[in-house]
Parts: sequence; C-alpha cells; structure tokens
Amino acid sequence: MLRKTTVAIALASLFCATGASAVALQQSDNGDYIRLYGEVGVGGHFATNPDYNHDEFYDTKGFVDDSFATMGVKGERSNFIYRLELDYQRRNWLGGDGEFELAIDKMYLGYRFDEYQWVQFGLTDTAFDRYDHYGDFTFNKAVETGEAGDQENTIKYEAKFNNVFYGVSYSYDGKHKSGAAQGDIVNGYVGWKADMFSGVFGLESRAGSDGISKYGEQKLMGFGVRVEVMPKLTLGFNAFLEDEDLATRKSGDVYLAYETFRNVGATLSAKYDYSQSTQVIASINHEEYESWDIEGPNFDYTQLPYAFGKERRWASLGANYYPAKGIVLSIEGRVGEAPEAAYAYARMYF
Amino acid sequence: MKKTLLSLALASMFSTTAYAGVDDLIFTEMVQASTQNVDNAIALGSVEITNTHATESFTFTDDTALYILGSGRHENKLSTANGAPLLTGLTIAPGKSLVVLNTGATDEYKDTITANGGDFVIGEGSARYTNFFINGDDGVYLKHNGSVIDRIGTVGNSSYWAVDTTLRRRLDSEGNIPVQAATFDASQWEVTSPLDTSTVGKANYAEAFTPFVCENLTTIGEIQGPGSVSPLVGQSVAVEGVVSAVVSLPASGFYIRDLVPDGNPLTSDGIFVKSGSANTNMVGQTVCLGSVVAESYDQTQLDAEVWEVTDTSYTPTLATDIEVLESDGGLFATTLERYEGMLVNLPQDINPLEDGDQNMRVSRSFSFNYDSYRNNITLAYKRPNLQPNQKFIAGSPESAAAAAQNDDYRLVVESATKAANGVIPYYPDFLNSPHTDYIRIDDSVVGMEGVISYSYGDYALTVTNELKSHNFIKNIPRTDSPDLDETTAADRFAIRIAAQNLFNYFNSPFGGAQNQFGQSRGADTHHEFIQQKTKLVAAIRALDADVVGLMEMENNGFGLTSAIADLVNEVNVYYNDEWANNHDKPYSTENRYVFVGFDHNGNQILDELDALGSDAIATGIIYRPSKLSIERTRVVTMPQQKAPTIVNDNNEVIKDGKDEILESGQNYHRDALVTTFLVNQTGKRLTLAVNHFKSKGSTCWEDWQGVEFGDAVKWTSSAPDLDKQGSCAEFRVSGAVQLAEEMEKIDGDKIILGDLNSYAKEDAILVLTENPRNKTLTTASHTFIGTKPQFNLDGSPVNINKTYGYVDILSKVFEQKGKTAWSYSYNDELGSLDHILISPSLEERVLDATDWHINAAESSLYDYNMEYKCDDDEDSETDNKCDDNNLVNKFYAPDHFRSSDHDPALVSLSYLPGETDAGRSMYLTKLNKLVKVPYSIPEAAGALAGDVATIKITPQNDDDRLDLGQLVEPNVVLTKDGTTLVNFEVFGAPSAEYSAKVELLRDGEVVPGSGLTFDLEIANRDTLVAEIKQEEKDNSGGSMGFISLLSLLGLSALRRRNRK
Repeated sequence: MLRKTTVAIALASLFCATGASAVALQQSDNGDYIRLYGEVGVGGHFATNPDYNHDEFYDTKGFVDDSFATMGVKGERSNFIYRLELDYQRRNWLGGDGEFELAIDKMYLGYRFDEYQWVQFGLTDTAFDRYDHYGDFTFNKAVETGEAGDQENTIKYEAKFNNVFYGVSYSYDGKHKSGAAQGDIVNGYVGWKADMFSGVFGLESRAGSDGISKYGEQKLMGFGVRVEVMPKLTLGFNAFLEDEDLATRKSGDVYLAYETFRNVGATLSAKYDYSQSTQVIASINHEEYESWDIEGPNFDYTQLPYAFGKERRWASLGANYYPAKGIVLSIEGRVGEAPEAAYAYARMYF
Repeated sequence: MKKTLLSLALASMFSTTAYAGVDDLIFTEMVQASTQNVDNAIALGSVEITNTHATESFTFTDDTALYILGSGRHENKLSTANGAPLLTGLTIAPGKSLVVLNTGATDEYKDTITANGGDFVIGEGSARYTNFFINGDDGVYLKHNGSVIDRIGTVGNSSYWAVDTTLRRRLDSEGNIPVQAATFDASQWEVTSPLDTSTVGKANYAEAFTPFVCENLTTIGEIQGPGSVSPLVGQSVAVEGVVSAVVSLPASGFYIRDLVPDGNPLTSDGIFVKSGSANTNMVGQTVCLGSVVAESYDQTQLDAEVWEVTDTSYTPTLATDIEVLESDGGLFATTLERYEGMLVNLPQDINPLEDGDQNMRVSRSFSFNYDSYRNNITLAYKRPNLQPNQKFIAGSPESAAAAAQNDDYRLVVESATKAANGVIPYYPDFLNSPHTDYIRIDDSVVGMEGVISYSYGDYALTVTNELKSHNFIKNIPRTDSPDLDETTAADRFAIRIAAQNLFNYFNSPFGGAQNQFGQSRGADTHHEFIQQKTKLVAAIRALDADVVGLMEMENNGFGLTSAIADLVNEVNVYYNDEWANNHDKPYSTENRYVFVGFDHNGNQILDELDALGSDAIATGIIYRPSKLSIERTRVVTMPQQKAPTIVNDNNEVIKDGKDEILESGQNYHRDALVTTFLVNQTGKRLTLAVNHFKSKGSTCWEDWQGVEFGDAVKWTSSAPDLDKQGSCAEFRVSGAVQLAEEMEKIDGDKIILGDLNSYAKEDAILVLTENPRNKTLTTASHTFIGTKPQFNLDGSPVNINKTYGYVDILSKVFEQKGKTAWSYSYNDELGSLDHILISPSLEERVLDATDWHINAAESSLYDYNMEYKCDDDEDSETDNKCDDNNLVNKFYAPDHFRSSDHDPALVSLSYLPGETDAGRSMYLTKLNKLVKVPYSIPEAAGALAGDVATIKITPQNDDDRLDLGQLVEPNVVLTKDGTTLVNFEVFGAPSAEYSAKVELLRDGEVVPGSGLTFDLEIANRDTLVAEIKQEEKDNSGGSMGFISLLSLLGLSALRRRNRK
C-alpha cells in the first residue's frame, strides 16, 4: 500500500515536465507501447517535532528517513492499457515501524476509448487522489487531504479534454493504508485547465466499516486552484473539508459508538521559476483536526499531548533544483507549528 | 581566671548554701479544661508549684519528682523529652511559682504566666503517659524519695471532678501560707468554674476556709428563676435540699431539690451542685450547703465540696414527667430549661397540646460521641433528627431552620458514671442479651428517668433508673427481609434492584488478590474477616435482589481471587437445589449470582490486573443470570481534581493536626461501573450505573477558598461548611455532570445508584434530578477526565444550568407513604447518601422502593469489628481488641444487622414478558434447551377458552446453518376466556435470531386480529462464571454493502453529524 505522501510526490513529479521520464521498451506506429519507468529517491525529514506530530512519523527524532524506490511497466495495445508498479518504501508514518517494505502499488487493466477518455480496473489510485494536492506546489506535502489513495477492487473512469477534465472511481470494500476496512468508497473530481487559471473540485464518500475497524462513514470535499500571476510566478490554493466518523470505543474486536469528527485544512502556496533548473516554493498552511481539540468532546488524550490545541499553522520555504533531466534535488524548511524543521531529498527518474 | 568562670563559681557557692528545703514546695493552683474540648485541655491544662520559702530558692534533683494521677488511678511519672525526670535541675526562686504546661500551651497563656512573675516548663514526655496532659479527671502529686509530699485530687476518684475548673489553694485557718498535705482535702481549695487562668504563675492564695452555717436559706426556685439565667448569679446563697441524684457525667456533682416545690412550672425545683466530693450514699439525704450562684455555659449551678447533712434519713424524689407547655413557644429547649437540675421522667406523650403521642426518639444509637468524647446516646423530640439537606435544598432558609430545629430537639443521654465500651450502665440487658435487648434509631424512649443538665449548647439527661427493653419502643422494628412490595399486575413479573455498601470488604490480606492501591481498609484479622463476610453474605441473601450494586469492595480486579469473586461465591453456596420444580424456592440454583467483570485493561482476560481507577476501593455489580443478561459493560472515568496544594501566605504547604497535608488539591471519585442489562423474556434494556462519589470527610480545594491562613503552617480547624454539605460538594457536582453526560449516550431505561455521598437535596443530586429553585450549582475547579480538562482549560469552574431529570425514587415513594428516606446516620442526624435515581421512563414501572434499616439504625457495636466491645476490662492496651484468649464479643451475631454502616436501598420494577425497546428483539434465554416465547394476545382477537395458540419460528440468517432437528413448536390450548398472555415452551431451538409468527386458531380457522409476527433472540443464559461480554456492532459505523454511485450526488452539502 503506497503512502499518500509519496503518491503525492510521485504525482507531482510526473506532472512536472522536466522530471517525467521513461524507457520505451517498445513503441509501435499505431500508438501501442511498452515502457519501463521508475525512480530512486533518498532523503528525509529533519528535526521532527513531537509537539506537532499528528500523523506524520513513527518516531520523532533528528532524522526520519523517507527513501523510496519505485519501478513499473505500463503499456497499451489496441486501446487496452495496463500497468504494474512496485514500490519499495519506508513505513515511517505514525504507527509504522520505520522499516522498508515492498508492495505492489498499482496493478490494473484498462481501456482507452479515445484520446480523451479511459477506464481502469483493479488496484489503482482513486480518481481524486490524482488531484488532491492540485493547489499545493511544495515538494514535500503540506496539508494532506485525507482521501482514499490507492485502492483495490476499483473501477475508475477519467476524461481529459482541452480545458475540462473529470473522473470518478468506485472501490469495493476500501481499506485504509493500514489495512483497516473502510467500506465502499466513491470519489470523483471535475477540473478546468487554462493558461492563466486552472482548478479542481473533488468529492469523496465512503460507506464505513460497520464495526470492523475504527473507520465509519466519511464525506470529503476538496479543491485546488492554480493562478499564474506572472510568467514566472504561480500561486496555488488547496483546501479540504472532511466529516469523518470514527469509533470512540471498542468492545473486544467490535468498534462502537462512531462519532463525526470535522477536519479542515488549507494551503496557500507559490512557485517561482527562478531559472530553467531552479524553482523556489513557499507555502503557508492551516490544519484543524477535531481530534486535536482538547476542548472537543473527542480529544484523543491517550494519543496526543495535553497541550496540543485546536490546530496547527506553519509556513515553508523551499527550492527544487534540476541539474539534469530526470534528476531533482529538493530542500525545504518549515517554521511554525510544523511537525518537522526541514526536508531534503534527491531523486532520479528513469 | 576569667570573670565569667569566677562568677559561676561564686554563684554555685552561694547556691549551695542557700537552698530552700523540699518542705517548702506546695501546689498552689491547678487548671483543668473540658474533656469535650481537647484543644482547650491541651492549651490550658496546667499545675502551679510554689516555693514558699521567704528567701531561698529551690532546685529540683532526681529525689523529687512530679506525677500525674491519671483518671484517679494511673501513676504516671513525668519526664522531659529525653526521659529525665521533668523537674530535675529546675530552680524556683523564693516566693515564686513554676507552672507545668502541655506542649500545646498557647503563647498567650505562656505570656500570662510570665507577666504574673512565674516560670513555666513544658511536660513534653519521652513515651506514652510521661507527658503532661490533664483534662478534668486527673490529679497531680509530688514525690520525694518515694513518699508523696503534696497532692491534688483524691486517689481512686476517676470521675470528671474538676472539669473546666481552676483550683486555688486556700490560706490555712489562721490565714498563713498552707503546708504540704499528702492527702487531698477539698475544703482547702477554692473552686472556680468556668476556669480562670488570670492568676496562674503568681504565688497567690485563696481566702481561708470558713465553715458553712446553714441559715438564711434561699429556695432553689428562687435561684433558678423563670428565665434561662439565674437572677442571683454571683451571689452567695445557703440552700437546703434533698439529694435527687449523684452523677459524674456530664460533670461531677449532685442534684438537690427544694424540700417543698414552689408549684411554679416555669421555675425548676432542682439544681446541680458541682462537687468532686459527692458519693452515691447521699441520694435521699437532705443537705444544706453554701455556694456562689454560677452560670456555667448557661447552666445555673452551685459549687460545694463540704456541706451539712441536715437529715440522714431517705427522702424519695419522684421524677417529674416532662411536658410541653404553650408558654414554651414551640421551642423544646425552653421546655427542657424549665426542668434544668430536676429529676424528670420521659413519658409516652410529652406534648398534650398535639394529637397523638410525642415522645423522645433515639436519634443516635449507643456509640462513641465525638462531641463529648464518650459513649452515649442522643435522643430527639418527636422524631430522629434528619440531616437538614435531606428534605430541604442545601443552603436554603428551610434547611437552616431544620438544622436549628435539630439543635432545639436534641437531648443527650448520659449515664451517671462513664460507660465502658459496650456497657450501658442504666440498661444492663443491653450487654447481657444484646440480640434481644438492642436499641435502634427511632425507638421511642419511655420511662427513662434522670436529671437534666445543660452544657455546650445541648441539654443532657443523666439517667438514674434502670431500664428494660419495654422502655425502648420499636417504631422501626428489626426485620429479616426488606419490606418491598412486588405485587404485579397479571402476567407481569418483578425485577428487584438493590444497592449495598460492603463496609470495606477487603480479602487481600486473607489470600485474595493483591491490592495495587494501598493498604487494607477492612478487617484487621482473619477472625474479623470471617465475621464481616458472614454478615454481608447474610444481608445480600436477604436482599434477594436480581441485581445488586456494591460499594466499598476492595479494588483488586476481577480474577478468581478478587474480593467480588470471593463474596459472590460465598453468597451462592446457599443456592444449591437444581431441581426444576424448586425453581421458585429461596435455595434454588436459579437464584445464583455472578459478578459483572470489566476487562479494564483490555487484554481479553478478567483478572486481578483489571482494577479500576486508583483508589483502594471500587464499586461492583452482581446479578442473577436467570433474570438478566448483560448487553454491554463499561467504566465511566470520573473526574479527578488536580488543583494547587493549599499553602499559606509564604507559599508554605499547610499541615493538619495529624501532620498530614491539609489539602493536596488531588481528589478522586471512584469510577462508575455501567452495565446495560437485557431483562430476560423481554427486549427491554436496563442500564445500571453504580457509583461511589467523593466523601464528605476529607476536603477538596474549594473548601479552603476564602480561609485566611496568614503564615500558619499548621491548621487544626475544620474547613467552613455553611450549607452543611460537608467537604467537596462542588467536586461531587463535577462528578454528577460527568456521569450524567456519559449516561446520556446510552439509550433505554437507566438507573444511577449507589453512595453519592450527598443528601437528597444537595447539589450533586439537584444536578442529576431537578433544580426547582434554580440554585446556582457550581463545579469544582481543576477537574480532569484522565488527562483531559473536564471544563475549561484554565481549570476555572462552571455553573451547571442543565439538570438531567432523574427521579429520586426513594424520596418520592417514601413521601407518598408519609415518611422520609434515610440510609445513613452521622452524629445524630439521618439522611440518604445511598440513592436510586431512575430515568423518568422507568417511573411507571416502579412497584415500590425502600431503605432497609438493618445497618444505620443499629449501634456500631453489632458490626464485625472486635475493637471496643469486650464486656470486661479485657481490651488490650495496644489495639483495643478483646484479648486473643478471651474473644468475647457478645454483640456479634452471624446475621445481617450492622453488616455495613449504610442501609441497603431497593427498588422493584414491573415488566411484561415480550415487551421490547424500539428496534430491539425479544431476548429469551434457554434453560435445559427450553425457551418460553411470550405471546401477548391482542385484545381484538377476543381469546376464548378452547382457542389454540400456535407458533412458528424461523431462523433469520440461513448462514447460521442451525440444527433444528429437535425443534418443538407447541400448540397451547387456552383454558380461560380473555387470556392475554401465552408462553410457548419451545424446545430445541439453537441460540440465534429468529422471526416468530403466532396466532390463535378457533375450530381450525385463524382468529382474525390474533396474528403477530416479531423478532426474537434465543440465547443461552449468561454463565455463572464472569465473562467478558463482547458487544455487537451498534450500526453507527456505516455499512459494508454496495453503496450507490448516486450517493456521490448527495455529497454537496456536508452531511448529518453523527454525534450523541
């Protein structure tokens, strides 16, 4: 199961023109192809802060390694598409053990109706996953939108026209990245893309685990916009609003008394193209999880420090440097109520 | 040679030549305060020794030592802190005095002594009985080389002969300074009472004794006068009267009456003569004495140590019946004032102005009285005293008026001599046959005779006649089972619920699981433990309840050796008949209990590690699986107070009289055990929350707010308690709010029961029930649920404007019966600390509710303890228990009386088989594969005799693959027209969810309107071994089936909030 952070990173890099890369194993005139692709990344989080570690790190220490590798094959034959992708990643999130694991991240077959529309079946990312950080330019993630991520048993339809793009997916018996049941998940998005302005609006709904895990029903609304204010300066805004039911107690193996927690987050980011190979990225962020609210009825005082408060706010400043095609060096510093002080990463794509 | 050394040498030369003789030492003054006021006794108890030599000082050596004659008997040599004789090395200058004081003597008193020219020494002592402490029944003497040379107090006089008294030595008959006397001659001492410390430290003497001449007599009626204060106070009078009683309590002395009464009911014809010299042979003699008329704490009295016996023959005094007059203005104290000093009788009816009999009731059974520091009884006029907050809202004018009435109605009953433990001198049968001649609270006391005195705001009656059991008329007799009505309407059945305090049932010292939270609070010995267990088991069996909430159970988990397992096993031994035809017999196994286990640490095992909270005691629940089944258990974490420690102006931690932290700011409730039961044969849920709120005894942070400590590091005064709620009223409000809020999350009928440590109209109860006068109810400060602040982050308290609507069913039912609920006796006031608060939804089900007065009404002598109960002087010096080789405790019996200090509370509820909560199927339990399926025949069907009721049950879930091979679905032929309920005895249905279809057939045809279909859950009964009950999903977590893609369309607005 791929961690959402890294999905976001991977996607961000895919969309990044200078970073995309692949090895064509076969390329036919009719458009059929087989490509091998992948990446190797080394780096991680520096000076993680226990006061603001909500769901980020399995341990708050000087350096939390976030090294990551992926390799995949994708192809198309007579409009049928497929993809197989393997990830090697660290389980470094809260509740994980910090060790590496190898996982099949994507495994789907699909069909491309035409140049603009396609469907996928199998293990793939849910529709909104692709755009949930649309307005967030940071290399490391800023505010995370808690959508479903990769799911098995998924049917996804997507369409991308000149300006309009949209997609919807349905996942049967969805699961949290930890493997816990979440019930069926439906999500979708609709977006508009133009030179100066583009934006995405997404929704997600899940049916809940019915007492099998702590996850009950959930509804999520997210959106992201990008505005090019100057040729080299783009502003982004990303936000979400989520009502998630979580169990408040457990009897034996049965989770009970689900109550709704409202979570809100927003990121305002800016990207400045300093040169062909260098970007400077800044962000300011606000996050509010009801379970953090010490005055709220469901403050999880067994998990969080007594003085956590209602929300966290921080800002970041970072730079991406592309010394050559398929290589990115990224560094980011954070100030405020951030779970880490800095992030540094080097990545190569093929 | 240095000058200082020279001067020392010279001084020693002079001193060796200038010693006064030991013959020059005499006691000149002694002050003994009241036994009722230990602080005063410590502060003011003192004895003055004077060196009468004109010119020479006296230095004590080991040859001359000071002794206390403790209680007239015990010879205690006084010592310094390091064990040396107290006075050795001390010097008294000629004509000066040395005063011996207690370690607690006040600085003010020391200043008085110094100002009077005296010195003082503190009798610190090095071990027990070597310190200086006198409190009214003690004497002192000086010994020189083994011989007594001077003495105050008569050897063998163990009475309180000098309470609140200053004795000053008189000049001798020639007016000279007196000489030593090895025996005590009371006539050589001037008695001043109340005590006077103004001349202590000064070597002064009272006037020489002048023999009294019996002439110019004043009558007692003239001395007493019609008011509460004598018109002759301060005047010397000569009085002649017949001695009606000689007593040593409340003070030592005798009572005399006028030879001829004045016939005026407004003036007393008797008076108390304070004396350390009286003896019981004087009763009936006529004496003449002289005295100054004094008011001692508002009692008119005389003092005399010598008198003239004018008639040695016996003249009887008839006791006068106490009678309320219209002129008393409704104040009982005014009634008693008219009898002050007289020999009276308590009649069957004290007040002829009112209908019925008004008599004196026992308001505190025979026990140690912490006001007077001795064993006695308190009576109250008309009724036992009720705690003012039991019927009236705490802090209200009505509550204050009730408190004032309690003070007015109080009459303390004293014996003429101090009562030994377990002995009532005027009622010998109490000790001789304690299980038939007992005294209970609310007994009417009739025919008791004695003399009336007044002291410290209370009237007392010192008994002079010997009483029998007929003098104690039982208004609430002992019973062997609670009087609880369980008569139900036809077809219905009753469920009985009880709350029982276990009086600290601790089995860890006797083989039980370890207590992780501190020492044992319960029995001290195995012998006591067995007695405790026997009594509790008897009580629980007699309660015969289907579920019992238990308080003060040792908090040692839910393993096999836990206290609750130990107790329930013993209770179950009695229920041993397994035959089905005896199912309704008291000894049937159907009545067996099992305790509710809480897997508190979540490890899926019930064991000793599942202890709750952090207190040495916890609550518990036991129930009968034949009647109830657990649906869900949980523990409600109750608030803790984590407030600042109480400090003085210098930020120093203040300690109390026992050198413990006055108030640490850390306070706890016991966590509440909450169990949702299903009433078997119905689908009705019944949730029981068993509680034990923070006590009224030790304080909380709030109780000290507003107290000015200054720079004091030690504080012996109690915290102010203006509204009589005791300590921690605010903290109990916090507890009530937390409990009620958590209970709001639970559906169905609910009961909050247990020891809420609040009387019925106190703040915590108002929160849980109703607050009709909108009293401001404020929580405690700095309360936390676990680590989470309960209210405000800054710890500030909140006012609670919401009430939770529970019904105080005990108060309500008692009120309907014209009575008042009570379950606890504290001092001489009764009230309910143990409550049964029901949700309004249950009110119509209530058949009856009651307190069973087996404990609070009884003397504590009947409990399991062995302390203070021997019928002789065998109490061990060290632990006050009967000596091991003489385990005579006549008060113990293996019965339910005084099994605890709180009375159990009970309520009975009515249920109809087959009724269910909305959305819940019937819950039917099997016994020997048989299950009874109730069919409430609709009235419209018009059931007739001969109709055949039929049933068909169908499993709801085919996946269960049930073996229905043995299933028997019987037909039931109605025997009566108008039958409303049929129970089908279905055999062989495996445990599962079923749908049932029932109907009536008449002549083979279905009777119109008779058919019903309903869901039922057939299950095994809960086992008799406690198990962890896993709950079923509650449907709040969504569903795992396919959801429609269309739901996405409904996403635009954020959805309903799933919140209780």
